[in-house]
Amino acid sequence: MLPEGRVGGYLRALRAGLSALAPHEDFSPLSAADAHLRVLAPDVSGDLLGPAEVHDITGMPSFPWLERARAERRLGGEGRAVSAAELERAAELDARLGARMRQRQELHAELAGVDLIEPVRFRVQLVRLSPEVVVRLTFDHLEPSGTWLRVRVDAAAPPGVERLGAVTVVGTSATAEPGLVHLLARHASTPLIGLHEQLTVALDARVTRLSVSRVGPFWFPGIPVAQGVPEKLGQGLLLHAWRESLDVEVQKRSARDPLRSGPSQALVPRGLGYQSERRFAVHPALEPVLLRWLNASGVRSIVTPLVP
Amino acid sequence: MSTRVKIPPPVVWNGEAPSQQSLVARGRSLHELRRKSIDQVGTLARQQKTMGEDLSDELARLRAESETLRALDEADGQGGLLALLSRRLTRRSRMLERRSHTLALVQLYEEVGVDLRRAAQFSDELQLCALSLNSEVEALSAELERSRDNGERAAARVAALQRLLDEVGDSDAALADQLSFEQRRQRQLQLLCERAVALNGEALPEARELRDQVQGLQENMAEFVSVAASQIDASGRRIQALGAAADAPMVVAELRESLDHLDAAMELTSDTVLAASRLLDRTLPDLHAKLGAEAELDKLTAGLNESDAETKRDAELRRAAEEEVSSLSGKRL
Repeated sequence: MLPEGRVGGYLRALRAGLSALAPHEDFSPLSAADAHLRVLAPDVSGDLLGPAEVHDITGMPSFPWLERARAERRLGGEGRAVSAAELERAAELDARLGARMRQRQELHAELAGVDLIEPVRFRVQLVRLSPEVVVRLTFDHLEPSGTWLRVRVDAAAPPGVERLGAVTVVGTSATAEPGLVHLLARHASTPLIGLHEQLTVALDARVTRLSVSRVGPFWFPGIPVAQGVPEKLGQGLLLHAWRESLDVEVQKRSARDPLRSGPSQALVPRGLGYQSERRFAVHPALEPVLLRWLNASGVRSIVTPLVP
Repeated sequence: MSTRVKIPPPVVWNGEAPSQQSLVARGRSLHELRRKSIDQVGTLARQQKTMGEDLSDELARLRAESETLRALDEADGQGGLLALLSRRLTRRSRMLERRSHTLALVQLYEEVGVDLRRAAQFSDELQLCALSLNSEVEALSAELERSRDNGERAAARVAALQRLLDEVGDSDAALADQLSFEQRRQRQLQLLCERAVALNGEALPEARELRDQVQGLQENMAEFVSVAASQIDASGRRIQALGAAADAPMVVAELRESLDHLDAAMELTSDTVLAASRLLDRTLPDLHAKLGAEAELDKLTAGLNESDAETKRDAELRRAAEEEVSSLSGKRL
């Protein structure tokens, strides 16, 4: 649990890290994450969404903390707004009660229509119909470790095909059987090659691209760094965003993650290329330490400054 | 004597002077307030009951689900149902029929979370209602006190007028008449004050009771919210890990199935390799040897075979020609 005085700073730092990394579409949506972190801040929600909890190992915001904002958003949509007269009366009778009721009212207005991080979000799109049918699945998931996961799948079938296993093409759109999201939820942590195999069976099509990405961990004092990493990297602010993919467009294997070696080439399905990367947003004071470690690991990663 | 007698000055009222209109208005407003308060408290009590029941139900479901999942996590995930499904359904439909425990738990948690936030908001509304009722109680108490005070002031003047009347006696009939008239007016005001005391006095216990009822509801709700919040937070911390753990047997089964397929493919490959080896090592040399023997035999019987073949070819040609002619003439030759 974060001490009250550290909540605002923590959220500012995490938002700065996200904005520095500027994750692309393979990662969970930046706008939703930024909006979510903004409303958790005490200057927006007071103590309504507390207590502020972060995951012990990854340093990312905990599931219950994030969920409180989503619950308030739903509550705000129920139309139980308190009248201005009642707010005034509450402030007259009890200043703290009045402040809390006003804060809740303002928070509901702030949350109306705002996209937030969802524990599970699934979307299926039809990318094209020719020269072959291509559908794309996007699955976002808040992992038990607090990291934000996104799985993106492109599957292709010959032109004219209307059914790719669990996905049905209808005109210019596509729909998926509910079972597919359950399958993805179950296999969210399955290693890439196993996941590729599961999806190939479920979609009964060529999975031409599969990427799994995560935002987090977020290392700061009090959160342990991974094994083999200089302890000093845990004494500042360091946010990770990492991704691995299998892609027909990739000819040459490229592994740029100092913490994961990836599957051996023998396991990579024929016709697909493997890529991995880990990007870092780091406080300028730690940048030299990070670069030294990356050099020693023989990995070239993208490093951007994190200035809260 | 009459020139020396001084009529006591009019009462300086505490607040508004008592009047029939204000007493009637006060009576109506107290009645309206009572009706509104009772309605509001009734509505709040019903809401509280519904919310409490909903939240309890959701919590019980969450707890039951968690317990089931814990049991599942501890038990062997490759149970009979899975095995049965494995036998009966194709692999893809099996994969798509299975439901993720993680998703089910997350959805349940979401519902409980919203119920809890709603209950917290409601608890604040109850608190506002209790405070409003308390402020009514305070206003009633103040009004009661004021009416009582005015009643005493009116009574004091009535008494003072009575003393003067006693003093004047029959000595000054006109003065006595004025004093008597003033005393009757004052007594009427005193009576209004006493009616106001009675009115406020009757309303006060009921207002206090309503306030205390709402305060009780608020205290219960606040305690419930506080206990539920800590339970829900604890569930939230475990929920995804628990869901993932409960999904794990299915995931393992599915991945194992992939391995089975891989094994089957490998088995097929090794069968092919074995068959190829057998072909190379045994069958081909055997065939080769057999072919060698047959070639020798062919050489020995070559002449005979050629002559037989020629005879057969001639006979077939003749039969074909006869069939063609008969089909043209419609008769068999």
